[in-house]
Amino acid sequence: MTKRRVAAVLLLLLFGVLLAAEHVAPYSYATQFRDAPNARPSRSFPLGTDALGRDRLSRLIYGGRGSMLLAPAAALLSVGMALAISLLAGCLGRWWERGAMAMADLSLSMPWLFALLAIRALLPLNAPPVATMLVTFGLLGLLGWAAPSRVMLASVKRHLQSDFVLLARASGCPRGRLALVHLAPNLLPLALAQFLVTTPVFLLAEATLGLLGLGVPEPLPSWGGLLQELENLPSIAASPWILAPLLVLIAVVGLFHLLVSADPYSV
Amino acid sequence: MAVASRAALLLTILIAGGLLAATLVRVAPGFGMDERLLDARLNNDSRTAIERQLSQGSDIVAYYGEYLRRLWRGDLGDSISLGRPVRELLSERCGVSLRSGLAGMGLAWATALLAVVVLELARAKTCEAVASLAAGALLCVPTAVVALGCLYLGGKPSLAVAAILFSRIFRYLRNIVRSACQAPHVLAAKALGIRRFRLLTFHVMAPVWPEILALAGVSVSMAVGALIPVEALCDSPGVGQLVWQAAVARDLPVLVNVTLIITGLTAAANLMADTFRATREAWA
Amino acid sequence: MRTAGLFLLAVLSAGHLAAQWGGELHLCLYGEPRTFRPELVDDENSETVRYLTGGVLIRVNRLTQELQPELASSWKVEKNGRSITFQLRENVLFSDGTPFSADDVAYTMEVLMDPAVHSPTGDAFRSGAGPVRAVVQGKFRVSIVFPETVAGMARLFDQVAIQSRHSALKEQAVLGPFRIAEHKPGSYILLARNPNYWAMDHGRRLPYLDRVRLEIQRSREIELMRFRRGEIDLISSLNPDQFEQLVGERRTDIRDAGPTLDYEMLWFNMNPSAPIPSYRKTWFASRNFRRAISHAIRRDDLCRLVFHGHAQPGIGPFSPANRFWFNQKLKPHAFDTAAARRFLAADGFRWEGSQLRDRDGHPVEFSVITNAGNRAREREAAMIQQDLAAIGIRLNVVSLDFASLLERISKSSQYEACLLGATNVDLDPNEQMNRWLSSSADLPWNPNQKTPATPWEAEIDRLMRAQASTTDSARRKQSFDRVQEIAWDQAPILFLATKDALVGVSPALRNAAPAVLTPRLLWNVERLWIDRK
Repeated sequence: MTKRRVAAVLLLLLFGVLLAAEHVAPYSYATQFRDAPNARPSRSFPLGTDALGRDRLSRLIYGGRGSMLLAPAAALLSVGMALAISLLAGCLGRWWERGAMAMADLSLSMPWLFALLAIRALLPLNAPPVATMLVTFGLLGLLGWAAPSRVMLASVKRHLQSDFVLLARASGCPRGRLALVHLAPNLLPLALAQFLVTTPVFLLAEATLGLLGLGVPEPLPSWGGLLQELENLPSIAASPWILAPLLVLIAVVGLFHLLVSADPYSV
Repeated sequence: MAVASRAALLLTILIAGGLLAATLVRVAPGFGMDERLLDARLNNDSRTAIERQLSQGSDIVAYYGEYLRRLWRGDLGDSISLGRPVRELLSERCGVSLRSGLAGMGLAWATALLAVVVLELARAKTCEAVASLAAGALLCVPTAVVALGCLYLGGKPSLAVAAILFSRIFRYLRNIVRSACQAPHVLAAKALGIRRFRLLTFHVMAPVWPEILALAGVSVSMAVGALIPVEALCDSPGVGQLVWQAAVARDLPVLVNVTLIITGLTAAANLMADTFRATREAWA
Repeated sequence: MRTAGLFLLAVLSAGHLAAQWGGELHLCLYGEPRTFRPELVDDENSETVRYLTGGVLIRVNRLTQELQPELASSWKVEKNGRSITFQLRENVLFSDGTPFSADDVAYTMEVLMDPAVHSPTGDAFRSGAGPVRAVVQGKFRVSIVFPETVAGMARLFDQVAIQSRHSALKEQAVLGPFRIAEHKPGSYILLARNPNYWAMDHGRRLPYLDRVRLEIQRSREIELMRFRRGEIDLISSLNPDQFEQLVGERRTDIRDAGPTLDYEMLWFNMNPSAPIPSYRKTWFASRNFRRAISHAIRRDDLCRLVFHGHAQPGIGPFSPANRFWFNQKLKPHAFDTAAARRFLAADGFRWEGSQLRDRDGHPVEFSVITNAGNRAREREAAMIQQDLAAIGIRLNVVSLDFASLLERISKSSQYEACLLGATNVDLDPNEQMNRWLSSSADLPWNPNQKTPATPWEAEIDRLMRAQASTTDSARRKQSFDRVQEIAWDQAPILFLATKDALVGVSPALRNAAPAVLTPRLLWNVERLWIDRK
């Protein structure tokens, strides 16, 4: 079995577990066993409990559902936008290119945090937590196109000078087809790099945004929120099982990498 | 003419950036609020005076027009939250941030380039796997943990910046180089028996320098983005720490000025990369 | 009380050891001080600097909570609290050598009461319309005359740092134990000993320490790391998680000094013009509903889990730490689900399965806003959510950044309930006047009322004004005890927990006796010394 297949199977298994959280998790993510706060791993609580006596394993499973579905989706959105904008900018000419890159530079420099706060303020106070999560990740996805689009545009311009593109143009290939059939596949390595970088970045960004009220509301868990416990570094030595979300996330990112990476041999 | 048009574009980006930043800050909830208003000792007159001071910038167009006029005279305005001239605040802190940012970027690039070169020359699956895992793992660690971890190890904020940037730069570089290795001319050069190091430098990396240059330009904004939480968490008295405090306090004068600086840096870095690339293409 | 006594004993015992002169004390400020002008101090960091550098006429002893003479050797409150006369210490100099006299006290009051300055300290003295006059009656005797009675006036002078009228250094010429020697913005403030400080020990001028270095350190994790490494000599407010970690490390340099004046609270938005559904306004306006919520919350669990036992269930606006003003007859609302259900049933609420509904059939669901980034408060919210779920109420927790939260509670009134903490600086209920008057902009649940919306709010108004208009402590206590009883009964604010003061002190630091009043470990800074053996 190739590595890609193994990675695909494992990821599918993981997503299956996450989607079936109600059946797989030993407890609800919100149940507080107040007589057992900060409990060590045991048969009842395989990964121990948190400060409020909530089962860590259950929260890991339920938290992954939101984080692992929405973070990759947001990453796909930002990658898709970066691809589309760089292709448009590269193929339509200099002024489009300058305009797009000026927008990219602006987008990279703006304090978008305030836009996030403004949009969050528009949501009703009793909005379902899912709505808050969707808005947060959606906005992250919409705002994450700028950096990769620059790199992709450079690649587009380089490929526009390639022999195969010149041949296609000489054959009368329309610009749309040129972009989609000839250029886009050559941007895939960059797009995949962006996807692999952005998925964990967005996942963690949700937790950072939680410091400003833009994260996942209680009692819903998220992997970013669970990872925040690691900020108390001495507690890692005392309770190493709190590393579980980090290890799972590293494993998932590694599986994604195996799934989407090009062949390993090069020179 | 090209230089003039690029300069005009840069200026337009700067002005638009400042206005957009000011608008974002103004429309965000919490503008004009300060925890001083919770002080139960204040009487109505004092509360009104504080609210008046905080509402500076309510009319965003008028505020920005006045700001540009003062900027022309070198006056960057006064910080609402710290009560000091923004120019003073920035001049005290710019040096710290520049040192951390440049050192962090330099270390990240050097490490990423070295890692890519070593991986290409070694051609070992195990090395590839370990490098990918390490870079992926670094991406998964929250910025706060990276920053605190560096402090615990006795490192400076630049080390934290380097750690944050390395994984991103490495991932891009690796994919750029790997994809370039599939090019027909590389395969031909390999068949001719050209040595690996020469193959890597002249035949693989040289043709993809536009992407590498673009990545370098983008890494400036990545570094700026990393500096803000790192300086805030490490309590390093740089511009990043100032920005964090200003964002929490909705300090419009500080945020507008810092946005202009960041926009200028980002646009200038990318403009330099584009100009260099265009010049090289023209020579070619 | 017992804790304070033990520490007082420790202090006295330590005093018998020969104090070592010199050395530098290291501690952290959690942010840049907003100002070094004493009259404008309104944040904790600026207050710390003011305490260390400012000389005051009267000091509230943070351990005994009694008044003690400082720059004033004696004082007398006259005319039913409308005037106070100070007899000043003689031969005292500012840090730059400028002589201290009654004229400087007069100047300080002028600065403080200048309407253009908007001093929070000055506002605390404004008892009525009309000017505040300082009458110099001699080189070392001055009277301050107020237009109306200022109850608890003498204590207010604890926050008035005397400034020199004649010094060229302005507010930088100080009378406290230290003066500002260096300031690197964003990094540190270095205080050096005031060579002219008036207090002496065996013929030698205090303080024992040469310098105090205030590191500007926002991160509590980094502060703790530095404390562990010995780079920081004291931490005035450890959070409960940090305290438990240090206990686990068997460190002997950490202490729980007992309940503070700070409390955690939850209140409902009773503003009739708030943009929330009217049926929810009806709930929040009902005493029965509020009492039901209060009895459904397990305060003991909050104290145990969120604060690791380093907190007491909240009772009212004052905790037992406020020995004189706390109403001893009151106890926390007990956790009692049956009582909660009775209160709700009395208002026509009913249960359909596990879901509570009001008399019109609306499911009982509402949101509570709290400030994001405060882990303890987010845990409290999660626990209250679970407690209310047990009686069929769905609580939605909304964490907001502080500025957004402030806008909702102060301006737009766009919230339903709020979970927040409060810090009391002063012991006197007069400090809380604006938190209880119905016309005040600071009244949490329904600010800026033109006329009191309810009879009990009108009664609170009357009682607060009554206690402010007399200097008779017994009568004032009677009035404020009644305010506490009304607050307990009507529950416009649910007092959840009173936090303990958790401190860390380097073993080398002597004479440190933590008090529950701020600045907890620095209250006797002039007598702190470092044992370098």
